[in-house]
Amino acid sequence: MSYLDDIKDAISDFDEDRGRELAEEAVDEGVDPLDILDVVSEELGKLGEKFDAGEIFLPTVMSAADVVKAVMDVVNPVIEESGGERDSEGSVMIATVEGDIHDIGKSMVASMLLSNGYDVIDLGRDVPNEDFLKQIEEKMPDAVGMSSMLTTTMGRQEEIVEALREKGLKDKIKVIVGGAPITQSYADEIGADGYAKDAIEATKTLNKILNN
Amino acid sequence: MRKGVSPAENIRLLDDDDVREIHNNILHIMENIGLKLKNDEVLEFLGDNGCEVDFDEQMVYVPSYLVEECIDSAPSSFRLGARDSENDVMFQQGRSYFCSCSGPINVLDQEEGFKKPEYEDLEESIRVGDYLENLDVVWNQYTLVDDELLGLQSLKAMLTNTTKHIGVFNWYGRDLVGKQIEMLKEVVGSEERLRKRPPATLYVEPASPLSMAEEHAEAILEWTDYGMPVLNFPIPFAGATSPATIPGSVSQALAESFLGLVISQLNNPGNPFIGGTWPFPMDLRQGKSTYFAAEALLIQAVTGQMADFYGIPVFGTGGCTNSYFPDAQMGTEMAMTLMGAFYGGETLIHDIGYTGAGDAGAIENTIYGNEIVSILKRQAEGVTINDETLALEVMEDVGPLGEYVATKHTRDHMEDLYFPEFLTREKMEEEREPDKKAMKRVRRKCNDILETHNPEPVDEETEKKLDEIIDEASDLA
Repeated sequence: MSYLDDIKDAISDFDEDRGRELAEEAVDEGVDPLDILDVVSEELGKLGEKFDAGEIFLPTVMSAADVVKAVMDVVNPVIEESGGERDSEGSVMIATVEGDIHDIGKSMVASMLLSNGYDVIDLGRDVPNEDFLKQIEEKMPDAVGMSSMLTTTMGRQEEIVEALREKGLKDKIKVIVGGAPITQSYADEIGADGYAKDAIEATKTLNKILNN
Repeated sequence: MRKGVSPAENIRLLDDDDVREIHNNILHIMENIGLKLKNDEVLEFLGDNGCEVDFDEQMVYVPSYLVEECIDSAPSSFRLGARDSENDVMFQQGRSYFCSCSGPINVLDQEEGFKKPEYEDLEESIRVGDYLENLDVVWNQYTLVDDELLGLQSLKAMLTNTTKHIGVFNWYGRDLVGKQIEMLKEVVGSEERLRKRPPATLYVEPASPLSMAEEHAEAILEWTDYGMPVLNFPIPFAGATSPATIPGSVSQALAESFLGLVISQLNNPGNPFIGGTWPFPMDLRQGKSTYFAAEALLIQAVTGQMADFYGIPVFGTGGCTNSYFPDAQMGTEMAMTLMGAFYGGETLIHDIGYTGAGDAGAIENTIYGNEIVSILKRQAEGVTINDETLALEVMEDVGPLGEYVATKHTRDHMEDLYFPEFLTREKMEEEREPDKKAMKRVRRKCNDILETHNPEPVDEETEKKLDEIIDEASDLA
């Protein structure tokens, strides 16, 4: 068995620790990190397709995504150091907005984007506007995704869009929004580039607005 | 093998004394009030076997000891055969099974409305019944009113469009039942196999109050000569054709039903028998017979408890509605009647898909009913208490504000949860989209089943023989 096969097994066993260890060993042994990345993306992609088709449940995708993230955390820095270029649909920074602790919907979107070939930077939940904007300016992702589950926090989405506009970043970075109280018309109103009602639609919307 | 299912707990409304009171009521009705039986041949048979008979009045009085003997000799479990042995039913009192039923003289398409059924409609309803996993016994859902040989045509449609156990209506007495038996024999191959794995249950219906028609009485004799299961199910409308009070109505109904028990057991001791009680009183404000009532659950539970006391399976009623539309009334009535029959402990629960209080059959409703049964089956699993289900460890791991979705504990148990196919949440944004209604999903499913599901056919030779038997029978009509 090769490292790549073992890593695939770790994903299907949902074994995050084993995935991380195997990735470290494989890199040490000189396995091409781009090959590792290909394998994990492909595995997660397959699960994403099955989820879309209603064949498997959400926990399966999200558990597999946890292993893939662990592998990527090992592999990505190595690729960057060596100046390697990896295939990617683009980079997305994603967060649940300030004052809002709802995590699951946002994590679902992150997992599905990951499984569809995006680089995902997940800032977590209850992310203060200030931190969010700082991270955006630092990393300059292709797109920013914002989630809010409450009518009392949806206003943060508008504030972030406004801040991006003021900083002259609005044309450079696409914005996609979602969450229970959010609608297409709200997205239009605040000037977001896209809206998605669920994790499956999020990928489609993002593909569209990034012209992938 | 289909094995039935029972809820974690039945609804029980009677104590032991109550059960005994109803039992004594039934014995008293049968021995002292008597039942009208309009068939001299069967009266003679009953007279020869210990019943008191009045030929002038065409009345039979069954002594209590004989009723008790028949109750004892009737089996509480038996095998219902099917064309495909995978679909054989291990049928037993104490578990529930589900079926559609025949009778309505209209087809109701939830979008197109009514039409008169044709033979092809019978076939479609049977194919859908064959497909639905929760239907253990299949029936054609409509009656071909203009066809004088409708009993035989229906039977052919069932024999050629499902591999499950089927229900057979009796319409014309001994001669036509004989033809039905001939057709069954043709399909299973021999009389021995007919007895061993009977492919059909005969449905007969006494007329309330306290009467059985000539053709039904003799049909039971003919049918039980072959040891096949018989079902004698009265439809009293409490307040009109039975007492308005539930214990009185159920007692009368079971006495009516048990006349069939007595005929079957005296003719063939140990013959499989299914009794039962109709659960919907008359709407006395309007003088209408209904297919739903607030009291249904009470009657179903009392009947289920009596079935338990006797160890005799009963025909239950659920999944039907007074409504002609895919509306709130339909959903409420279908679900509540199915729940009452199931939690009440009735055995073979029928009428899934009856609409408009029996005016029409709707296969879309049957498909929807199948999902309600899936939900009942999930509930039947009950709740298991152990360290794994109490889940302290995973709570410790996840902690406050964590999430359970991507944990092993959730993965281990996610398939315990049942996710409905039709009763789902569909997010709608700016406007309500009618296309996302549950019954729209049901309709798409229905089209899909009709397009793709084709049960194993019978061979051409057998089908030809069936047609010959029907041709020969045409002078009986």
